[in-house]
Amino acid sequence: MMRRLGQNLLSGYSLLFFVFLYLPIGLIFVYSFNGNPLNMMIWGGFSLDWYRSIFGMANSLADNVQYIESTDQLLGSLRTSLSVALITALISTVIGTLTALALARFRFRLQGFYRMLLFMPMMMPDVVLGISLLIFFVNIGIPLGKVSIIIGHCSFLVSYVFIVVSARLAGMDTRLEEASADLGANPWYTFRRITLPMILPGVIGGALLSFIISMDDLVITYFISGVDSTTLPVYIYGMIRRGIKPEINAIATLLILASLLIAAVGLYLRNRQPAALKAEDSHGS
Amino acid sequence: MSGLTLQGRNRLRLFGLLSPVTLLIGGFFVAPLLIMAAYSLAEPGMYGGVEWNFYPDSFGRVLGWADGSNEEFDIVYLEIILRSFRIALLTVLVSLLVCYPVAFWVSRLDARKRNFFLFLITLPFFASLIVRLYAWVLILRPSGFLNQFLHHLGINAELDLIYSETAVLIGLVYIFIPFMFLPIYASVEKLDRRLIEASQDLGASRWQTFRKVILPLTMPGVAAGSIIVFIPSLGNFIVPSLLGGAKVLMIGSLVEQQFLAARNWPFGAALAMLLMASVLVFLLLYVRSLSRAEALEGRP
Amino acid sequence: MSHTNTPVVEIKAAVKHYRTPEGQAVRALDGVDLSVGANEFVTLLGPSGCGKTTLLRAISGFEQLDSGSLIIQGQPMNDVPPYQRPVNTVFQSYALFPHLSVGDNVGYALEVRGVPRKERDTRVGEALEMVGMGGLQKRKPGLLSGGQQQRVALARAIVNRPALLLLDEPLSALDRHLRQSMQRELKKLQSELGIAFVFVTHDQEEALTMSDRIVVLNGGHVQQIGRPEAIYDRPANAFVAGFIGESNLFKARVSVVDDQHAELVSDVGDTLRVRRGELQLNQQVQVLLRPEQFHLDCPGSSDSHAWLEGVVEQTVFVGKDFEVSMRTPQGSQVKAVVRDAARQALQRLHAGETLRLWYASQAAHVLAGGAR
Repeated sequence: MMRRLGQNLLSGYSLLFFVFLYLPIGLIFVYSFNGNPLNMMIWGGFSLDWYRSIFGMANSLADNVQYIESTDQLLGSLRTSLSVALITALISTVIGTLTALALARFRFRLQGFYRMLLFMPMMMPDVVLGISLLIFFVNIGIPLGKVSIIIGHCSFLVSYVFIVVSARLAGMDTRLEEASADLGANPWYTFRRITLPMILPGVIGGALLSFIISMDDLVITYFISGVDSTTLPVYIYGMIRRGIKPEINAIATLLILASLLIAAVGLYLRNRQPAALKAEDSHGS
Repeated sequence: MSGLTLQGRNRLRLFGLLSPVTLLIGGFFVAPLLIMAAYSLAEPGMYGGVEWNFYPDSFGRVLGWADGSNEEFDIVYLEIILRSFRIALLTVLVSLLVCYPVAFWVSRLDARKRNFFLFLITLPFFASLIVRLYAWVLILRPSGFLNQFLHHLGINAELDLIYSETAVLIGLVYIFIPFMFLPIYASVEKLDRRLIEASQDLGASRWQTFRKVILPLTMPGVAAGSIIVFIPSLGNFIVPSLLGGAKVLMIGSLVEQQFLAARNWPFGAALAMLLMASVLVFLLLYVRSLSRAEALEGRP
Repeated sequence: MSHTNTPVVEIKAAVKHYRTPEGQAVRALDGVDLSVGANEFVTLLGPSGCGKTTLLRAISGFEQLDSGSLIIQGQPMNDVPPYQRPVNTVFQSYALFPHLSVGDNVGYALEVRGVPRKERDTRVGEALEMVGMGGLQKRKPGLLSGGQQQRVALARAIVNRPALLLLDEPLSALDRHLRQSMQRELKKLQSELGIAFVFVTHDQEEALTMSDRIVVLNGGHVQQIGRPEAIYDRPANAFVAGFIGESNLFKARVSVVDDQHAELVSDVGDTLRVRRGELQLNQQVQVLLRPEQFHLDCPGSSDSHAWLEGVVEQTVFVGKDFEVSMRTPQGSQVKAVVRDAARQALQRLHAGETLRLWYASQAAHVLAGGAR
């Protein structure tokens, strides 16, 4: 009897937990379709006007209520974010994978030191990373802009890729690489034909992760982005600080859908990788 | 390369693999931190610049001492620092209380459901941080969802939650829930069910079983979750800036102000150094407790 | 055992030290000499940690010798990377590439060398035929049974006709029945291919069944090299005697000698009789008696035979044979395997009965160097 009650309490509590987790996101989603131009908290019928408005399309609301400052700025920041995240993901994935290979496949004295070095950026508060990079760029003479953002993002995302790829490498039998060498393949051939295909899910996972984090980073970018290189999160942050507007709901909804899509793809890939390995066509190259 | 010994070739290969990360982290993580350390000990100049004189007063100023020329003894900064620690600790405590029971609930589901709920918990981590915080602005502001909701229920409370410590706490807990949940879940999942049965079989009450068996065995997850929630909470400035306003400043907000508004870079750098030092201390304590626990378990 | 032709592998004074994570130095190889002739089946046998795997990995190139020389087919190999050595390995866990098909796994060594697809396919087919796996080219290794994976690994290692095939405990993951049939097949394959095999195992039965020569290793040292019969009948020291086969070892001192026989007294007081050989009075030696060398009755002249007497402690029927464990009044435990135990003799083997175990004095083997 007591046990039954306890079980039900726990289930109820857990359900509340998931409501707490998803209600705020759901609210934005709902409000983004609210057609009430004056009070966004009071439902005024379904409308796609805010979505039209953020893409600069004419709509019934935009004529009398000029909410959004500039579509160009919004799209510009989106472009900046995308290009920064793409380049960052590429660089940090390559460097992170090389590092993971070095630490997993070689024995050397500085191994512990490198592990710690890679661990530090993840544990450092964002503010500290942001301002130290700001001071650095100002002193070294690198202008604040896309380049400084990419450098800043890579300097900590390499650690995330390293962790993800290392986990994958740790699960791989090193004898496979030995077998390849034993059969006459040089290290580069072994890497291309054996190691890379085996760790590919980890590498892709690391790339997706660094893309998402770079896309989403606010604090570090906030300090090291120049005037004309605002990223999307920094832009939205600015908008929110100036005042709540219904367009933000629409932008936020799109942003959430995009990142959830990438995350879902990533998690899906990770979950079905053993099957993928078997089902894969016999001749990859 | 054919003239080299095998060892020489391996060294060359290792060097090639490690050079990029050494340059990246050395050049753009370690070097900036060192320059920041130097700034924290330099004298703030006029109009936001620095004079390269040794000037430890920035640290004194953090603790409340006047820096001679322009201020009286004032503990306003110390108060902000103490508040940051208090809020970060509360964040850890609340998210722990929120996550621990749910971790148990999820671990007892069958495999399909379990994976689904785990997926649900990880998913928000990938959703834009700024958007998730914005949602709480929508909910907590005076004309926001919460008051509307209460109004519909017939309660005209007119809660003014936004720009309060409570709002900051809610925001921090909300964004760091996955960080707390996953380590706890990992240790709960590892927990051998038979140990609980054994404990009950030996006559322990449910509370005793929890105290003597479940809690100690899930402690590693609790500790790991606490440290990964505590560290980013302590230095956060986005959450206080959006949900705390001017009233609830934390160390992070102070650093931001010094850099982007007050333009006293040495003082901002000194604050950042203190923030970094406290993070390192907590990490060190954590790592030491970890190795002690491993030693107790007899692992090398 | 005349392998007078030029050796495929020649190892001289090989030394390899390790440092454990705790900082302890371990001597995996401590001055090992070994040469393997063409078409020879050599087994490296020893307990785990004896250095046999290290020696194998030194030949394949995955371990670097600290000192000593390694010559394969007349070429010094110390500084040649694994992928340029003319040896191939069958790995313990097979190490089949899970993302490649069976055909691509077997053809890997050819693909690496740029052998055209058509020729590759032919040779892969031949290699798979040899191991009885023809027609399975398209399968993924993950879908094969352990025995099948074993055969694919074998085909992959022989497809390029290496000078030397290394096998690292390849049968240890198979069940007993499959292991025995694979032993025979491996032996057959080796004579068909005409290449040298170096086979690592910790299973003495496996070593005795398959090898031309056995190298017994312990603590990084070669304990004995020789043909299986020689190793079994005339172990060089107590370690080999104890590691291979069941054994009764007595530490003893020579007390009486005549022209043909010597009488010895063991350290606890048992009396033993062996062939005189080179034995001197008062010499300290060890005497080995295999359990199957004992008989319940004196099989020949009492002059050339001796006996040990004691009380039966336990008798176990193991199918066809009885394993008897007996203790002498002096306290030594003696294990005996009694063959063809007539039903009427069974009574004598009951626990508590006094029993006399006979042996031929020339069958008792005296180990050089009594003190160990």
